[in-house]
Amino acid sequence: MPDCRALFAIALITAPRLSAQPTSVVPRAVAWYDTATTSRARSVPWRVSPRVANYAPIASALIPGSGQLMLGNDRFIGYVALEALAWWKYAKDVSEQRSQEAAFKQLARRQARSHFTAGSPDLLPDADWAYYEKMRDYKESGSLSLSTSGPIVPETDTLTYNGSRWHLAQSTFSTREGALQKYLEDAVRPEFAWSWKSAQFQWDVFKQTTNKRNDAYRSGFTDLMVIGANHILSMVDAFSTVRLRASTNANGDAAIGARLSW
Amino acid sequence: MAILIATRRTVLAQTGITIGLEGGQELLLPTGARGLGMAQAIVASGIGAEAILRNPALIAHGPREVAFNIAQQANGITVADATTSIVWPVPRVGAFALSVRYLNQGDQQAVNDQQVVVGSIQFNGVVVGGTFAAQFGYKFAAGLTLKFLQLGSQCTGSCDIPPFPPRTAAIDFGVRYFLTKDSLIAVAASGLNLGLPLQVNDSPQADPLPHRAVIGVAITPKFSQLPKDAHVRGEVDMIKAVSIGGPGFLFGGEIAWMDQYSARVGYQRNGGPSGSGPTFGVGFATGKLHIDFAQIFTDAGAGSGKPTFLSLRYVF
Repeated sequence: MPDCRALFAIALITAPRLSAQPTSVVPRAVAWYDTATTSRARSVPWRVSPRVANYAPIASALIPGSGQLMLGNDRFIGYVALEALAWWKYAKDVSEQRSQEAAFKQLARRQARSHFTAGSPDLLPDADWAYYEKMRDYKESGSLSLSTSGPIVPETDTLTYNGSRWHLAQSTFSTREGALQKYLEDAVRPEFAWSWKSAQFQWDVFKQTTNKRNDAYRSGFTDLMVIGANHILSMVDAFSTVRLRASTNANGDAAIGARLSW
Repeated sequence: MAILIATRRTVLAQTGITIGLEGGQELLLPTGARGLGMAQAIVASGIGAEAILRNPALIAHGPREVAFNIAQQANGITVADATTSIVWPVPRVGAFALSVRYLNQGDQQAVNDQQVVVGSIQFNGVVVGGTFAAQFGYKFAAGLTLKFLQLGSQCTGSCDIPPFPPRTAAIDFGVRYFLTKDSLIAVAASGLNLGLPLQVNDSPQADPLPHRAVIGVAITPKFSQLPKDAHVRGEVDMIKAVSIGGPGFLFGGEIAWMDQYSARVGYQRNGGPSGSGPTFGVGFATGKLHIDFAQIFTDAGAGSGKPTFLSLRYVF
Protein backbone atom coordinates (compact mmCIF):
# COMPACT_ATOMS: atom_id res chain seq x y z
CA MET A 1 0.00 0.00 0.00
CA PRO A 2 2.02 2.91 -1.28
CA ASP A 3 -0.28 5.50 0.31
CA CYS A 4 0.30 4.00 3.67
CA ARG A 5 4.00 4.14 3.25
CA ALA A 6 5.48 5.92 6.16
CA LEU A 7 8.84 7.40 6.41
CA PHE A 8 10.55 7.19 9.71
CA ALA A 9 13.72 9.18 10.13
CA ILE A 10 15.81 8.28 13.09
CA ALA A 11 19.08 9.04 14.69
CA LEU A 12 20.14 12.27 13.11
CA ILE A 13 23.48 12.73 14.66
CA THR A 14 25.24 15.97 14.12
CA ALA A 15 28.83 16.94 14.12
CA PRO A 16 30.65 20.19 13.44
CA ARG A 17 32.06 21.19 10.11
CA LEU A 18 35.37 19.48 9.69
CA SER A 19 38.39 21.54 9.15
CA ALA A 20 41.99 21.73 10.08
CA GLN A 21 41.29 25.20 11.38
CA PRO A 22 39.84 25.81 14.84
CA THR A 23 36.09 26.06 14.73
CA SER A 24 33.64 27.74 17.00
CA VAL A 25 30.86 25.30 16.25
CA VAL A 26 30.08 23.27 19.33
CA PRO A 27 29.03 19.72 18.55
CA ARG A 28 25.59 18.76 19.79
CA ALA A 29 26.40 15.10 19.82
CA VAL A 30 29.10 12.72 18.79
CA ALA A 31 28.63 10.59 15.72
CA TRP A 32 29.47 6.94 16.11
CA TYR A 33 31.89 7.06 13.29
CA ASP A 34 33.76 10.12 14.30
CA THR A 35 35.64 10.04 17.56
CA ALA A 36 37.55 13.11 16.40
CA THR A 37 34.64 15.32 17.40
CA THR A 38 35.19 14.75 21.09
CA SER A 39 36.70 17.66 22.93
CA ARG A 40 39.79 15.65 23.68
CA ALA A 41 40.34 14.66 20.10
CA ARG A 42 39.82 18.17 18.81
CA SER A 43 43.13 19.11 20.32
CA VAL A 44 44.98 16.32 18.55
CA PRO A 45 47.78 18.12 16.70
CA TRP A 46 48.13 15.68 13.82
CA ARG A 47 44.74 16.29 12.23
CA VAL A 48 45.19 17.09 8.61
CA SER A 49 43.29 19.24 6.18
CA PRO A 50 40.14 17.81 4.59
CA ARG A 51 41.92 17.63 1.25
CA VAL A 52 44.68 15.45 2.62
CA ALA A 53 42.14 13.49 4.64
CA ASN A 54 40.64 12.29 1.37
CA TYR A 55 43.67 10.05 1.05
CA ALA A 56 43.00 8.46 4.42
CA PRO A 57 41.47 5.27 2.89
CA ILE A 58 44.59 4.68 0.83
CA ALA A 59 46.77 5.28 3.84
CA SER A 60 44.70 2.84 5.85
CA ALA A 61 44.94 0.22 3.14
CA LEU A 62 48.72 0.49 3.29
CA ILE A 63 49.10 0.87 7.04
CA PRO A 64 46.00 0.05 9.08
CA GLY A 65 45.12 2.85 11.46
CA SER A 66 47.07 5.51 9.59
CA GLY A 67 43.93 6.79 7.89
CA GLN A 68 42.15 7.01 11.20
CA LEU A 69 45.15 8.86 12.57
CA MET A 70 44.96 11.36 9.71
CA LEU A 71 41.29 11.83 10.44
CA GLY A 72 41.96 12.28 14.13
CA ASN A 73 40.02 9.20 15.18
CA ASP A 74 41.00 7.48 18.39
CA ARG A 75 40.28 4.03 17.04
CA PHE A 76 43.47 4.05 15.02
CA ILE A 77 44.96 2.49 18.13
CA GLY A 78 42.89 -0.64 17.66
CA TYR A 79 44.00 -1.15 14.08
CA VAL A 80 47.64 -0.45 14.88
CA ALA A 81 47.55 -2.78 17.86
CA LEU A 82 45.98 -5.59 15.86
CA GLU A 83 48.45 -5.09 13.03
CA ALA A 84 51.43 -5.12 15.34
CA LEU A 85 50.15 -8.13 17.22
CA ALA A 86 49.45 -10.07 14.04
CA TRP A 87 52.87 -9.35 12.55
CA TRP A 88 54.57 -10.24 15.81
CA LYS A 89 52.72 -13.54 15.92
CA TYR A 90 53.46 -14.19 12.26
CA ALA A 91 57.16 -13.66 12.83
CA LYS A 92 56.98 -16.00 15.80
CA ASP A 93 55.20 -18.66 13.76
CA VAL A 94 57.66 -18.42 10.88
CA SER A 95 60.53 -18.75 13.33
CA GLU A 96 58.85 -21.76 14.90
CA GLN A 97 58.30 -23.31 11.47
CA ARG A 98 61.97 -22.95 10.55
CA SER A 99 63.05 -24.25 13.91
CA GLN A 100 60.91 -27.37 13.58
CA GLU A 101 62.11 -27.93 10.02
CA ALA A 102 65.71 -27.84 11.17
CA ALA A 103 64.87 -30.15 14.05
CA PHE A 104 63.20 -32.92 12.05
CA LYS A 105 65.81 -32.76 9.30
CA GLN A 106 68.59 -33.08 11.85
CA LEU A 107 66.80 -35.94 13.57
CA ALA A 108 66.36 -37.72 10.25
CA ARG A 109 70.01 -37.32 9.34
CA ARG A 110 71.38 -38.44 12.69
CA GLN A 111 68.95 -41.22 13.52
CA ALA A 112 67.59 -42.62 10.27
CA ARG A 113 70.13 -41.76 7.59
CA SER A 114 73.41 -42.00 9.44
CA HIS A 115 73.59 -45.77 8.87
CA PHE A 116 74.04 -45.18 5.15
CA THR A 117 77.03 -42.89 5.14
CA ALA A 118 80.61 -43.27 6.19
CA GLY A 119 81.02 -39.52 6.70
CA SER A 120 79.27 -37.01 8.86
CA PRO A 121 75.47 -37.39 8.67
CA ASP A 122 75.14 -33.62 8.78
CA LEU A 123 76.64 -33.52 5.29
CA LEU A 124 73.92 -35.69 3.78
CA PRO A 125 71.94 -33.95 1.05
CA ASP A 126 68.64 -32.22 1.78
CA ALA A 127 65.42 -32.92 -0.11
CA ASP A 128 61.94 -31.53 -0.55
CA TRP A 129 58.97 -32.13 1.73
CA ALA A 130 57.76 -35.15 -0.20
CA TYR A 131 60.90 -36.99 0.86
CA TYR A 132 60.34 -36.30 4.55
CA GLU A 133 56.69 -37.24 4.15
CA LYS A 134 57.83 -40.68 2.94
CA MET A 135 59.98 -40.95 6.04
CA ARG A 136 56.86 -40.43 8.13
CA ASP A 137 54.94 -43.12 6.29
CA TYR A 138 57.57 -45.84 5.91
CA LYS A 139 59.93 -47.10 8.59
CA GLU A 140 62.57 -48.01 6.01
CA SER A 141 63.36 -46.88 2.51
CA GLY A 142 64.65 -50.28 1.47
CA SER A 143 67.44 -50.81 -1.02
CA LEU A 144 67.44 -49.44 -4.51
CA SER A 145 68.90 -52.75 -5.68
CA LEU A 146 69.23 -56.06 -3.88
CA SER A 147 72.24 -56.79 -6.05
CA THR A 148 75.50 -55.04 -5.30
CA SER A 149 76.64 -55.34 -8.89
CA GLY A 150 75.15 -55.89 -12.30
CA PRO A 151 71.58 -55.07 -13.28
CA ILE A 152 69.16 -53.46 -10.85
CA VAL A 153 67.24 -55.98 -8.73
CA PRO A 154 64.37 -54.04 -7.16
CA GLU A 155 63.52 -54.22 -3.48
CA THR A 156 60.81 -56.80 -2.80
CA ASP A 157 59.88 -56.08 0.81
CA THR A 158 56.59 -54.23 0.41
CA LEU A 159 56.84 -52.82 3.93
CA THR A 160 59.67 -50.62 2.71
CA TYR A 161 59.15 -47.58 0.51
CA ASN A 162 61.16 -48.89 -2.43
CA GLY A 163 59.50 -52.29 -2.14
CA SER A 164 56.05 -50.71 -2.24
CA ARG A 165 57.04 -48.72 -5.35
CA TRP A 166 58.19 -51.89 -7.09
CA HIS A 167 54.99 -53.67 -6.14
CA LEU A 168 52.94 -50.75 -7.47
CA ALA A 169 54.97 -50.54 -10.67
CA GLN A 170 54.52 -54.23 -11.33
CA SER A 171 50.77 -53.94 -10.92
CA THR A 172 50.64 -50.88 -13.16
CA PHE A 173 52.86 -51.89 -16.09
CA SER A 174 52.47 -55.01 -18.19
CA THR A 175 56.16 -55.34 -19.01
CA ARG A 176 59.09 -55.69 -16.64
CA GLU A 177 60.96 -53.00 -18.54
CA GLY A 178 58.16 -50.50 -18.05
CA ALA A 179 57.81 -51.36 -14.39
CA LEU A 180 61.55 -51.10 -13.86
CA GLN A 181 61.69 -47.70 -15.50
CA LYS A 182 58.88 -46.43 -13.30
CA TYR A 183 60.56 -47.97 -10.27
CA LEU A 184 63.81 -46.16 -11.02
CA GLU A 185 61.92 -42.88 -11.29
CA ASP A 186 60.20 -43.27 -7.93
CA ALA A 187 62.62 -45.27 -5.78
CA VAL A 188 64.82 -43.62 -3.17
CA ARG A 189 68.51 -43.45 -4.11
CA PRO A 190 71.19 -44.78 -1.75
CA GLU A 191 72.26 -41.29 -0.65
CA PHE A 192 68.70 -40.68 0.58
CA ALA A 193 68.14 -44.08 2.17
CA TRP A 194 66.77 -44.22 5.72
CA SER A 195 65.81 -46.67 8.41
CA TRP A 196 63.98 -46.05 11.68
CA LYS A 197 64.55 -49.66 12.68
CA SER A 198 65.41 -49.86 16.37
CA ALA A 199 64.55 -46.16 16.65
CA GLN A 200 60.80 -46.22 17.20
CA PHE A 201 60.92 -43.44 19.80
CA GLN A 202 62.93 -41.17 17.48
CA TRP A 203 60.53 -41.95 14.66
CA ASP A 204 57.62 -40.82 16.81
CA VAL A 205 59.49 -37.65 17.70
CA PHE A 206 60.17 -37.10 14.00
CA LYS A 207 56.46 -37.35 13.21
CA GLN A 208 55.54 -35.02 16.04
CA THR A 209 58.10 -32.49 14.89
CA THR A 210 56.77 -32.50 11.34
CA ASN A 211 53.28 -32.02 12.75
CA LYS A 212 54.49 -29.08 14.80
CA ARG A 213 56.06 -27.60 11.71
CA ASN A 214 52.76 -27.87 9.87
CA ASP A 215 50.92 -26.36 12.83
CA ALA A 216 53.30 -23.39 12.78
CA TYR A 217 52.75 -22.94 9.05
CA ARG A 218 48.99 -23.11 9.50
CA SER A 219 49.10 -20.62 12.33
CA GLY A 220 51.21 -18.24 10.26
CA PHE A 221 48.70 -18.60 7.46
CA THR A 222 45.91 -17.54 9.78
CA ASP A 223 48.00 -14.56 10.88
CA LEU A 224 48.28 -13.43 7.27
CA MET A 225 44.51 -13.68 6.88
CA VAL A 226 44.03 -11.50 9.96
CA ILE A 227 46.54 -8.97 8.63
CA GLY A 228 44.75 -8.80 5.29
CA ALA A 229 41.37 -8.40 6.92
CA ASN A 230 42.73 -5.64 9.14
CA HIS A 231 43.98 -3.68 6.12
CA ILE A 232 40.64 -3.94 4.38
CA LEU A 233 38.53 -3.11 7.42
CA SER A 234 40.68 -0.12 8.21
CA MET A 235 40.39 1.10 4.63
CA VAL A 236 36.61 0.71 4.53
CA ASP A 237 36.33 2.41 7.91
CA ALA A 238 38.39 5.41 6.75
CA PHE A 239 36.50 5.58 3.47
CA SER A 240 33.14 5.60 5.27
CA THR A 241 34.30 8.31 7.63
CA VAL A 242 35.54 10.51 4.79
CA ARG A 243 32.29 10.02 2.91
CA LEU A 244 30.18 10.85 5.93
CA ARG A 245 32.24 13.90 6.74
CA ALA A 246 31.91 15.09 3.18
CA SER A 247 28.15 15.19 3.46
CA THR A 248 27.91 18.15 5.79
CA ASN A 249 24.79 20.25 5.98
CA ALA A 250 24.57 23.90 5.06
CA ASN A 251 24.83 24.91 8.71
CA GLY A 252 28.09 23.05 9.09
CA ASP A 253 26.75 19.91 10.70
CA ALA A 254 27.34 16.43 9.46
CA ALA A 255 24.39 14.12 9.41
CA ILE A 256 23.77 10.46 9.31
CA GLY A 257 20.38 8.92 9.20
CA ALA A 258 18.36 5.88 8.38
CA ARG A 259 14.92 5.47 6.90
CA LEU A 260 12.54 2.67 7.70
CA SER A 261 9.63 2.26 5.38
CA TRP A 262 6.77 -0.19 5.32
CA MET B 1 43.33 -39.04 2.54
CA ALA B 2 45.63 -36.87 0.52
CA ILE B 3 44.82 -39.01 -2.48
CA LEU B 4 41.11 -38.76 -1.83
CA ILE B 5 41.12 -35.01 -1.62
CA ALA B 6 43.40 -34.65 -4.61
CA THR B 7 41.06 -36.86 -6.61
CA ARG B 8 38.09 -34.77 -5.61
CA ARG B 9 39.81 -31.60 -6.65
CA THR B 10 40.88 -33.12 -9.93
CA VAL B 11 37.34 -34.15 -10.74
CA LEU B 12 36.22 -30.60 -10.10
CA ALA B 13 39.08 -29.26 -12.17
CA GLN B 14 38.31 -31.41 -15.16
CA THR B 15 35.40 -29.22 -16.09
CA GLY B 16 35.57 -25.92 -17.88
CA ILE B 17 38.73 -23.92 -18.09
CA THR B 18 39.95 -24.87 -14.67
CA ILE B 19 42.42 -27.47 -15.77
CA GLY B 20 45.31 -27.84 -13.42
CA LEU B 21 46.11 -28.10 -9.78
CA GLU B 22 44.00 -25.38 -8.30
CA GLY B 23 42.65 -25.52 -4.80
CA GLY B 24 39.45 -23.98 -3.49
CA GLN B 25 37.31 -24.86 -6.49
CA GLU B 26 34.39 -24.20 -4.18
CA LEU B 27 35.04 -20.52 -4.78
CA LEU B 28 34.27 -20.94 -8.47
CA LEU B 29 31.02 -22.84 -8.28
CA PRO B 30 28.29 -20.58 -9.64
CA THR B 31 25.08 -19.69 -7.89
CA GLY B 32 22.26 -17.23 -8.43
CA ALA B 33 19.51 -17.92 -10.93
CA ARG B 34 19.37 -14.43 -12.42
CA GLY B 35 22.98 -14.61 -13.49
CA LEU B 36 22.94 -18.27 -14.46
CA GLY B 37 19.99 -17.69 -16.77
CA MET B 38 22.27 -15.32 -18.67
CA ALA B 39 25.20 -17.76 -18.62
CA GLN B 40 26.81 -15.74 -15.83
CA ALA B 41 27.37 -12.83 -18.21
CA ILE B 42 26.69 -10.35 -15.45
CA VAL B 43 29.99 -8.69 -14.61
CA ALA B 44 28.62 -5.38 -15.92
CA SER B 45 24.88 -5.75 -15.49
CA GLY B 46 24.30 -8.06 -12.56
CA ILE B 47 21.78 -7.10 -9.95
CA GLY B 48 21.50 -7.91 -6.31
CA ALA B 49 23.37 -10.09 -3.89
CA GLU B 50 24.20 -12.84 -6.37
CA ALA B 51 26.15 -10.35 -8.48
CA ILE B 52 28.72 -10.13 -5.68
CA LEU B 53 30.25 -13.38 -6.87
CA ARG B 54 31.07 -11.85 -10.26
CA ASN B 55 31.72 -8.22 -9.47
CA PRO B 56 31.49 -6.72 -5.98
CA ALA B 57 31.02 -3.23 -7.43
CA LEU B 58 27.54 -4.10 -8.66
CA ILE B 59 25.85 -3.75 -5.29
CA ALA B 60 26.83 -0.08 -5.15
CA HIS B 61 23.71 0.67 -7.17
CA GLY B 62 21.52 -2.02 -5.73
CA PRO B 63 18.66 -1.93 -3.29
CA ARG B 64 18.55 -3.31 0.20
CA GLU B 65 17.76 -6.98 0.01
CA VAL B 66 17.97 -10.41 1.52
CA ALA B 67 18.64 -13.25 -0.91
CA PHE B 68 18.63 -17.02 -0.72
CA ASN B 69 20.07 -19.20 -3.48
CA ILE B 70 20.12 -22.93 -3.85
CA ALA B 71 21.92 -24.78 -6.59
CA GLN B 72 22.45 -28.18 -8.07
CA GLN B 73 25.93 -28.11 -9.56
CA ALA B 74 27.29 -29.77 -12.67
CA ASN B 75 30.16 -31.59 -11.04
CA GLY B 76 28.05 -34.44 -9.69
CA ILE B 77 29.79 -34.13 -6.35
CA THR B 78 28.10 -31.23 -4.62
CA VAL B 79 24.87 -32.56 -3.16
CA ALA B 80 23.80 -29.36 -1.43
CA ASP B 81 24.64 -25.76 -2.19
CA ALA B 82 22.87 -22.98 -0.31
CA THR B 83 23.78 -19.32 -0.07
CA THR B 84 22.19 -16.56 1.93
CA SER B 85 23.14 -12.91 1.59
CA ILE B 86 22.12 -9.53 2.83
CA VAL B 87 22.86 -6.27 1.07
CA TRP B 88 22.59 -3.05 3.01
CA PRO B 89 23.23 0.27 1.26
CA VAL B 90 24.20 3.17 3.51
CA PRO B 91 23.34 6.57 2.06
CA ARG B 92 26.34 8.65 0.95
CA VAL B 93 28.78 5.91 1.94
CA GLY B 94 28.20 2.82 -0.16
CA ALA B 95 26.74 -0.62 0.22
CA PHE B 96 27.72 -3.39 2.58
CA ALA B 97 26.93 -7.05 2.08
CA LEU B 98 27.42 -10.23 4.01
CA SER B 99 27.05 -13.66 2.48
CA VAL B 100 27.34 -17.20 3.79
CA ARG B 101 27.51 -20.24 1.55
CA TYR B 102 27.30 -23.88 2.58
CA LEU B 103 28.41 -26.69 0.29
CA ASN B 104 27.90 -30.35 1.04
CA GLN B 105 29.97 -32.60 -1.17
CA GLY B 106 28.53 -35.86 -0.01
CA ASP B 107 30.13 -39.03 1.29
CA GLN B 108 33.20 -40.77 -0.02
CA GLN B 109 34.71 -44.06 1.02
CA ALA B 110 37.96 -44.01 2.95
CA VAL B 111 40.40 -46.74 1.98
CA ASN B 112 43.67 -47.86 3.48
CA ASP B 113 46.93 -48.67 1.68
CA GLN B 114 45.54 -52.07 0.66
CA GLN B 115 42.51 -50.36 -0.90
CA VAL B 116 40.21 -51.83 1.74
CA VAL B 117 37.26 -49.64 2.72
CA VAL B 118 37.76 -48.65 6.35
CA GLY B 119 35.37 -45.75 6.72
CA SER B 120 33.32 -43.00 5.17
CA ILE B 121 34.11 -39.31 4.92
CA GLN B 122 31.63 -36.53 4.40
CA PHE B 123 33.05 -33.37 2.85
CA ASN B 124 31.62 -29.89 3.22
CA GLY B 125 32.70 -26.33 2.74
CA VAL B 126 31.70 -22.94 4.06
CA VAL B 127 32.40 -19.63 2.37
CA VAL B 128 31.80 -16.43 4.32
CA GLY B 129 32.23 -13.11 2.56
CA GLY B 130 31.97 -9.45 3.42
CA THR B 131 31.58 -6.91 0.63
CA PHE B 132 31.84 -3.16 0.39
CA ALA B 133 31.07 -1.16 -2.72
CA ALA B 134 30.79 2.53 -3.41
CA GLN B 135 29.94 4.88 -6.21
CA PHE B 136 32.32 7.58 -7.35
CA GLY B 137 30.21 10.04 -9.21
CA TYR B 138 27.26 8.85 -11.24
CA LYS B 139 29.12 6.61 -13.64
CA PHE B 140 31.81 4.78 -11.75
CA ALA B 141 31.54 2.19 -9.00
CA ALA B 142 34.10 -0.02 -7.30
CA GLY B 143 33.87 -2.74 -4.73
CA LEU B 144 35.74 -5.51 -3.01
CA THR B 145 34.93 -8.69 -1.18
CA LEU B 146 36.93 -10.36 1.52
CA LYS B 147 35.98 -14.01 1.83
CA PHE B 148 37.02 -17.00 3.86
CA LEU B 149 36.78 -20.61 2.77
CA GLN B 150 36.89 -23.49 5.20
CA LEU B 151 36.67 -27.11 4.16
CA GLY B 152 35.42 -29.66 6.62
CA SER B 153 35.32 -33.42 6.77
CA GLN B 154 33.49 -35.73 9.13
CA CYS B 155 34.60 -39.33 9.43
CA THR B 156 32.64 -42.46 10.16
CA GLY B 157 34.89 -45.41 10.84
CA SER B 158 38.64 -45.09 10.41
CA CYS B 159 39.90 -42.22 8.32
CA ASP B 160 43.12 -40.32 7.97
CA ILE B 161 41.81 -36.79 7.73
CA PRO B 162 43.65 -33.54 8.37
CA PRO B 163 43.72 -32.65 12.08
CA PHE B 164 42.60 -29.10 11.28
CA PRO B 165 40.11 -28.01 8.65
CA PRO B 166 41.83 -26.51 5.60
CA ARG B 167 41.06 -22.84 5.25
CA THR B 168 42.09 -19.86 3.21
CA ALA B 169 41.11 -16.30 2.44
CA ALA B 170 40.68 -14.47 -0.83
CA ILE B 171 39.80 -11.07 -2.19
CA ASP B 172 37.53 -10.20 -5.09
CA PHE B 173 37.55 -6.71 -6.53
CA GLY B 174 35.64 -5.12 -9.35
CA VAL B 175 34.79 -1.90 -11.12
CA ARG B 176 32.00 -0.76 -13.39
CA TYR B 177 31.72 2.32 -15.57
CA PHE B 178 28.71 3.62 -17.45
CA LEU B 179 29.81 4.97 -20.80
CA THR B 180 26.63 6.91 -21.33
CA LYS B 181 24.59 9.10 -19.05
CA ASP B 182 21.45 7.08 -19.37
CA SER B 183 23.27 3.86 -18.48
CA LEU B 184 22.78 2.31 -21.89
CA ILE B 185 26.27 0.90 -22.10
CA ALA B 186 28.37 -0.28 -19.20
CA VAL B 187 31.82 -1.82 -19.08
CA ALA B 188 33.19 -3.68 -16.11
CA ALA B 189 36.08 -5.77 -14.93
CA SER B 190 36.77 -7.87 -11.90
CA GLY B 191 39.49 -9.99 -10.37
CA LEU B 192 38.33 -13.01 -8.42
CA ASN B 193 39.81 -15.29 -5.78
CA LEU B 194 43.09 -13.53 -5.23
CA GLY B 195 44.47 -15.08 -2.11
CA LEU B 196 46.74 -17.47 -0.34
CA PRO B 197 47.07 -21.11 -1.47
CA LEU B 198 44.80 -23.67 0.10
CA GLN B 199 46.67 -26.03 2.38
CA VAL B 200 44.97 -29.37 2.94
CA ASN B 201 47.78 -31.50 4.36
CA ASP B 202 51.00 -29.55 4.45
CA SER B 203 52.44 -26.39 3.00
CA PRO B 204 54.29 -27.92 0.01
CA GLN B 205 51.00 -29.49 -1.03
CA ALA B 206 49.16 -26.16 -0.85
CA ASP B 207 47.43 -25.41 -4.14
CA PRO B 208 46.95 -21.93 -5.59
CA LEU B 209 43.45 -20.55 -5.60
CA PRO B 210 41.55 -20.30 -8.90
CA HIS B 211 42.42 -16.73 -9.83
CA ARG B 212 40.13 -15.35 -12.50
CA ALA B 213 39.91 -12.11 -14.44
CA VAL B 214 36.60 -11.12 -15.98
CA ILE B 215 35.77 -8.26 -18.32
CA GLY B 216 32.44 -7.50 -19.90
CA VAL B 217 30.28 -5.02 -21.67
CA ALA B 218 26.55 -4.69 -21.20
CA ILE B 219 24.03 -2.82 -23.28
CA THR B 220 20.46 -1.89 -22.52
CA PRO B 221 19.04 -0.85 -25.88
CA LYS B 222 15.80 0.99 -26.34
CA PHE B 223 13.69 -0.19 -29.26
CA SER B 224 10.89 2.01 -30.45
CA GLN B 225 9.05 -1.09 -31.66
CA LEU B 226 8.85 -2.48 -28.16
CA PRO B 227 6.20 -1.42 -25.66
CA LYS B 228 7.52 0.96 -23.06
CA ASP B 229 7.03 -1.62 -20.32
CA ALA B 230 9.41 -4.03 -22.03
CA HIS B 231 13.10 -3.84 -21.19
CA VAL B 232 15.89 -5.65 -22.96
CA ARG B 233 19.52 -6.03 -21.96
CA GLY B 234 22.42 -8.06 -23.19
CA GLU B 235 25.98 -8.69 -22.14
CA VAL B 236 29.17 -10.30 -23.37
CA ASP B 237 31.88 -11.32 -20.91
CA MET B 238 35.28 -12.88 -21.19
CA ILE B 239 36.69 -14.86 -18.29
CA LYS B 240 40.30 -15.89 -18.07
CA ALA B 241 42.21 -17.96 -15.60
CA VAL B 242 45.15 -15.80 -14.60
CA SER B 243 47.85 -18.43 -14.88
CA ILE B 244 46.46 -21.32 -16.91
CA GLY B 245 44.05 -22.18 -19.67
CA GLY B 246 42.45 -20.18 -22.43
CA PRO B 247 39.67 -17.67 -22.10
CA GLY B 248 36.02 -18.50 -21.73
CA PHE B 249 33.22 -16.47 -23.28
CA LEU B 250 29.79 -15.77 -21.87
CA PHE B 251 26.83 -14.37 -23.74
CA GLY B 252 23.58 -13.47 -22.03
CA GLY B 253 20.35 -11.65 -22.71
CA GLU B 254 17.21 -10.77 -20.80
CA ILE B 255 13.82 -9.39 -21.65
CA ALA B 256 11.55 -8.15 -18.89
CA TRP B 257 7.96 -7.04 -18.90
CA MET B 258 6.92 -4.37 -16.41
CA ASP B 259 9.92 -5.43 -14.34
CA GLN B 260 7.70 -8.28 -13.20
CA TYR B 261 8.19 -11.11 -15.67
CA SER B 262 11.60 -11.95 -17.04
CA ALA B 263 13.01 -14.44 -19.52
CA ARG B 264 16.72 -15.01 -19.95
CA VAL B 265 18.92 -16.95 -22.31
CA GLY B 266 22.62 -17.34 -22.60
CA TYR B 267 25.48 -19.38 -23.89
CA GLN B 268 28.72 -20.12 -22.13
CA ARG B 269 31.83 -21.45 -23.77
CA ASN B 270 34.41 -22.74 -21.32
CA GLY B 271 32.61 -20.76 -18.69
CA GLY B 272 34.08 -22.47 -15.66
CA PRO B 273 33.03 -25.42 -13.52
CA SER B 274 29.66 -25.55 -15.23
CA GLY B 275 31.28 -26.19 -18.62
CA SER B 276 29.93 -25.09 -21.98
CA GLY B 277 26.39 -24.96 -23.25
CA PRO B 278 23.23 -22.89 -23.47
CA THR B 279 21.36 -21.59 -20.46
CA PHE B 280 17.90 -20.31 -19.85
CA GLY B 281 16.05 -18.77 -16.98
CA VAL B 282 12.79 -17.19 -15.95
CA GLY B 283 11.90 -14.78 -13.20
CA PHE B 284 8.82 -13.46 -11.50
CA ALA B 285 8.53 -10.51 -9.17
CA THR B 286 5.58 -9.75 -6.98
CA GLY B 287 6.03 -6.66 -4.93
CA LYS B 288 9.15 -7.09 -2.86
CA LEU B 289 9.60 -10.78 -3.51
CA HIS B 290 11.55 -11.94 -6.55
CA ILE B 291 11.76 -15.57 -7.63
CA ASP B 292 14.14 -16.75 -10.32
CA PHE B 293 14.92 -20.10 -11.87
CA ALA B 294 17.69 -21.13 -14.24
CA GLN B 295 19.11 -24.21 -15.84
CA ILE B 296 22.28 -24.95 -17.79
CA PHE B 297 22.44 -27.49 -20.60
CA THR B 298 26.09 -28.22 -20.11
CA ASP B 299 28.62 -30.70 -21.40
CA ALA B 300 30.19 -30.97 -17.97
CA GLY B 301 29.22 -33.59 -15.45
CA ALA B 302 27.37 -35.76 -17.92
CA GLY B 303 25.01 -38.07 -16.12
CA SER B 304 24.84 -36.00 -12.98
CA GLY B 305 21.78 -34.00 -13.99
CA LYS B 306 21.39 -30.53 -15.38
CA PRO B 307 22.74 -27.76 -13.18
CA THR B 308 19.70 -26.04 -11.75
CA PHE B 309 19.45 -22.86 -9.74
CA LEU B 310 16.70 -21.22 -7.72
CA SER B 311 16.88 -17.79 -6.15
CA LEU B 312 14.61 -15.94 -3.79
CA ARG B 313 15.13 -12.23 -3.15
CA TYR B 314 13.31 -9.97 -0.77
CA VAL B 315 13.90 -6.34 -1.65
CA PHE B 316 12.95 -3.83 0.99
